[in-house]
Amino acid sequence: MTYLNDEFFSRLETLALNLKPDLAGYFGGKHLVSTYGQTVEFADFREYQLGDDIRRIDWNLYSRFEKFFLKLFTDERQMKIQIFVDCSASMGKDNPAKGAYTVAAAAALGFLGVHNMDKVSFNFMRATGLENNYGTIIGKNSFFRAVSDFNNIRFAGETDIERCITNCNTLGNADGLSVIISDFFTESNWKKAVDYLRYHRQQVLLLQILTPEENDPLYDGRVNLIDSEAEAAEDPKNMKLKITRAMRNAYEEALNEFKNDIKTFCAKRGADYITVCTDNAIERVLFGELLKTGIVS
Amino acid sequence: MKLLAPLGLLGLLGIIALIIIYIIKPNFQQKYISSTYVWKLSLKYKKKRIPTSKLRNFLIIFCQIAIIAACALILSKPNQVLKAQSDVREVIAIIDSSASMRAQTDEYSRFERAADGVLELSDEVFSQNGVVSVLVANDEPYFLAERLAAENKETLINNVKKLVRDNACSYGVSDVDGAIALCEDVLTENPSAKIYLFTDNAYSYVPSSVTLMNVSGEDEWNAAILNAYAEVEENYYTFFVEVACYGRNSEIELNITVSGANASDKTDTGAVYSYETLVTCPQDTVQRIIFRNQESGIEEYETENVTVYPIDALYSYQVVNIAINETDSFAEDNNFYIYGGQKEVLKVQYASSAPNSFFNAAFLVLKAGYADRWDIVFNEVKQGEAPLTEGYDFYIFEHQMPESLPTDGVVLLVDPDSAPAGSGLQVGDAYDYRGQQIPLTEENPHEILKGIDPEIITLSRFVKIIRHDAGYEEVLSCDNSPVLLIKDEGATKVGVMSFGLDYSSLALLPEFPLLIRNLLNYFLPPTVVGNSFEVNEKVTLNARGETLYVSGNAEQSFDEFPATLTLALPGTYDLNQTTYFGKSVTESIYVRIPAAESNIKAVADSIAEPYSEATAEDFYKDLLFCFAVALVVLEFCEWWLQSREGM
Repeated sequence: MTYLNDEFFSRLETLALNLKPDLAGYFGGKHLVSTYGQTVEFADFREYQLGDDIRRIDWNLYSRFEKFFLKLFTDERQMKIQIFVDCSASMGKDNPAKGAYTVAAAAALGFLGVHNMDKVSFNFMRATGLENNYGTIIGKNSFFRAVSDFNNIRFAGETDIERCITNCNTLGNADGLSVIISDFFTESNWKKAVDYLRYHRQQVLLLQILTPEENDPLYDGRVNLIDSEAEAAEDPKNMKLKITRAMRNAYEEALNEFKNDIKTFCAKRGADYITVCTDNAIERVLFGELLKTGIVS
Repeated sequence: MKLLAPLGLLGLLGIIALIIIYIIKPNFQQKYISSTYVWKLSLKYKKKRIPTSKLRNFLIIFCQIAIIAACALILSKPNQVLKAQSDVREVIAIIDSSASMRAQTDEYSRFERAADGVLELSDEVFSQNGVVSVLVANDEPYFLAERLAAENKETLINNVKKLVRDNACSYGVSDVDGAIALCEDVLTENPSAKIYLFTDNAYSYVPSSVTLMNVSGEDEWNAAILNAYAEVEENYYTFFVEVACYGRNSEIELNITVSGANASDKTDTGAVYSYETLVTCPQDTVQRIIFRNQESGIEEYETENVTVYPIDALYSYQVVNIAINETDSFAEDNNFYIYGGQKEVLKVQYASSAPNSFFNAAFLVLKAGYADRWDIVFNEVKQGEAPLTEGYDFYIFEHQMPESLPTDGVVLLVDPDSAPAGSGLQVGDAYDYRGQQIPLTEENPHEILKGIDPEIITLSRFVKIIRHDAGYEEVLSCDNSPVLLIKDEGATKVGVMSFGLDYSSLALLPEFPLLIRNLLNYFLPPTVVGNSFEVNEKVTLNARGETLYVSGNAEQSFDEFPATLTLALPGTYDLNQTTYFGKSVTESIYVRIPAAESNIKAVADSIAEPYSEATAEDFYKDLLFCFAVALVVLEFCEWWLQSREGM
């Protein structure tokens, strides 16, 4: 399954990223921020203070109130969209649909970035490091060049999200949105990665991608579950289970608990979190779930 | 618990099969998934249920093993032992005590042989510490000894010897099937007991549980008089005799002696006639010899196996003795007696101021009907003559009554114009309905109304009985007045018809001779019906006096009637009585050996299969149902546990 085609991207052109206004970003761009700038769009008045440029005094107000007021204008900034994609085996080694969905979600978010004249950076997390073959992408041409290579992305091994992100040396401070796309089925402490991103005052979005089978496993009986990240049959990641209805209930309970844990953590850290299932159309995710979070408008 | 089919336990191999199935049960199927991360998390939610799961798994295996064990036990027919079967040898000896067992060779009877056989058998069984029962099969079989062990050997021997010493063999038939039925009591206690039947009969079918011990001798034979009787032909007696020879062909010398022949009355000794003839008897063929006087109609009797022998003209006899002069093995049927050749005279007097022929006609009918019992002499008192009040057995007074009632006979008062002295009656005026016919009503059911429907009898005039003493029983009434009364108190036997036959439809109905017959039977009942019976028959006796004394083969006295006499021995029984009217009457009957017993070489049909009430249930309680219930419960548990496994 592949989503990366013109039709897909053309549908995304109606959307725009709507990031938090407290970000600093870079000069230029389309994101309104909370600071006042040099645009032509009026924002507010304030009393003149010593040192202010007297050219910005509103003389009409002075004539009415005999006080000096400055006319303030909004500021628009360019943001950096950092997309961290979990490339562990669990994201697509044995389930290409999940991998394709992951890549499509990353590409869609990247497209929204370049469409809003933001900088986009695709960081593929493998083992303990990041793989960024495309650098900082500005403009659609660069974006499509990068995306054309996405079909070659391979999902294998384990990923230590914490180390991957904390080792990222391209993170600025409050310069945009960091998106972690993963299933978060990892022993690594991804919470520290989120804390790290928040430390850098990044707006953080956690996009959890699960397959229908992961949401509701249908298999039962005596099953030897082979983890896609397991290196050998004796790997402790593998499990022998007698899956019964009770066991499935326990699984459902554990998964919900896991999701709630992520959600609670994100709420505490001011991060956004959405979980999607690959059987949902990706447009629905972008138009629905992301709209709910307010990141997309 | 006992397993009736232990091989069923092979079903327990199913447990081994179950274990093997569990061992070779398919292992975990491999399933490749993205991550086991959540499954690992889920274990902590699952762990708390693991003990229940383990218990369930254990219970499932337990149920499966128990189900297989139950199936195996069901196949093994599990039974609870209620009573252990006896291992000692037990026999039941039945001694046939029928009359034919009296047949003998060299003065050693079959009965004695049977007794000796029983002693020999019991000796053998006692030597093996066994148990012996002895039954005597006569008409009412009984235990001579019941389940005696070796320590009671002497008792058994004494009882059997006493049986022989008392010559206790019956003269009648034996109820072998009844004896077999009695054996069932013993078989209930010990179904393995064997039955030995000591008999002279051969049987076409003998059950496997019965061993036949034939005690008959090969050379034994019997010439027998099976039956004999007399019939009146043209006023003279003809004697019919049936003889047969069993065991051989023989020519039998048959003698017949008629005593008291043609006597004028019972005081006359009469003449004695003797006849002798040789009868050729092919084996097992009944020959009929007819002693008759008439020549006419002889062709009617000239058939196969019938011989007619001419005798003198005999119109009465006291006794006929028929004898076979042969030395055979069974002597009890070589003599026969026929009684009933002298009828009692019944004198009837009819006195009427306006005589009619209805009574005469009725007695004429009765005379023919009672020809074998009564010699009825009907005497009608002529007009102008005074009726007698003594010397008759039955008095009929019509309209004009005697001054006093006769005391030596039955009195019938018809349409009395007055009440005789001592009658206990008070007679009033006549009720005349002037031609209107009034039906009679039955007041009390009475023997004299046997076969009579009172409602078809009508009256148009009757004499009112104003009062009668308590001895009278009102039988019929007309318009609420008694019209037929009966009094039967000892020597006072009175019947009162308070209407004349001229004013009643009775005289024209068959009910009238019937009523007279019923009166005779009621007041003068026959002592016994018939004069020839078989051994062990029960006869009903009546008497015309207070007591009846039986002499001859049995000495017994009766004072309540009807009485029942069991004829246990063959021979002549004399029935003696003095009537209420002081008349001495003696009647004789003859009791013969049953004809079937004369056939000492008989082959009977079959012996009834002894039914043992001791079924397997008496010894074992079948636990199949219990195990079946357990199996169902276990299967239900298994199903329930299996259904809970996925939860």
